[in-house]
Amino acid sequence: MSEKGQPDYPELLDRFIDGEVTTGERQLLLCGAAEDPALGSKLASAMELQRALAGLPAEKAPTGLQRRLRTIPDKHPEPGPPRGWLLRPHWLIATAALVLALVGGGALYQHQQQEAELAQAKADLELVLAYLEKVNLKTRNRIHSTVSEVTSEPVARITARTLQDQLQLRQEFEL
Amino acid sequence: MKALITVLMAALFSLPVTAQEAQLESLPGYVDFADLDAIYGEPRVMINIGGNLLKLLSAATAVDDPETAVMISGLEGVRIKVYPTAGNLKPALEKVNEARASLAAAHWEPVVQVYEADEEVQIFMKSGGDTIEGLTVMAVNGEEAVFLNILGVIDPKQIGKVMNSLNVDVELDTE
Repeated sequence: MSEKGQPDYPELLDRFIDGEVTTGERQLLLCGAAEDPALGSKLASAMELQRALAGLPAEKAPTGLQRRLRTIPDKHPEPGPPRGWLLRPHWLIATAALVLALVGGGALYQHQQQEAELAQAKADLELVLAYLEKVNLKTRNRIHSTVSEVTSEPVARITARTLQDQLQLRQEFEL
Repeated sequence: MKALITVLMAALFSLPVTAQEAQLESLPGYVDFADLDAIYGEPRVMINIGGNLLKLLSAATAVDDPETAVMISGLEGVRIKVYPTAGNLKPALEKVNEARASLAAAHWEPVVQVYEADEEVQIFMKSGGDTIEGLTVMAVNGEEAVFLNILGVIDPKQIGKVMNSLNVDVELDTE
């Protein structure tokens, strides 16, 4: 019996095909089939299947195999090659979703970690520059003035080059 | 795609401080500051930023602050060690003298030298052809000993602008 108090017709049908139903259960199936055309159709198919199986010269297939065969849905969109349970579409979708979630989660974590590292690097650089400026002020701006005098020409060229490299790097990032 | 590149770059650039230090050692502007840990204890500030992280930082700031990005993109490494001297200047000054001798031997140019009763500042620059490959600052006073090494293209004018844009506070409070 099902949870609602109704007979478990699919289970009864399975057992009917296997020849395992009692007389009372058989009667139950017949009564149900009389009231439910869908069940009646299934019962008729089951009877045909039972007859076909009984008429086979070969040994009857094991009960477990028959049950597994009956779990195959009634209607198939397209006949195709047999698939393992892992290759069924819903498992494939679930597996793909899980992989995507793991990869996405990992990428998000790494991205957040990288953002933290960049923030730390920026803070470190600011601290270094602060010390540099502190020394510069102590030496009455002599770092800026002296280094500028020595390097004004090369730095202009170098800056142009690094700017060009920077633009190229940005373009690569935007791709 | 951009996120993927960022994640990959983050994975590549996520190196510990010691590994970044090892990376910088091969650069021409690298200065081996003698270890003063035995005398002054752990440095109050120790920062090593490698070239790869600086490039990434440059790319990250390119859109919002291109001038800073250009300045950072020229850098190949930034290092600083700050020890609290607590009035004990002698060991730090000895190390400064040692470093000064080795810098001169490695063809670094002394650009600023300040000798005062309670303070000494040594600033060296290394040029390679038409480029600046390094700037070294050593400043010792009764409060602290600063050993700073910037590797790569350095433009003091840009540093000044970056200081303003980053709101760097020269009144350092690292206690």
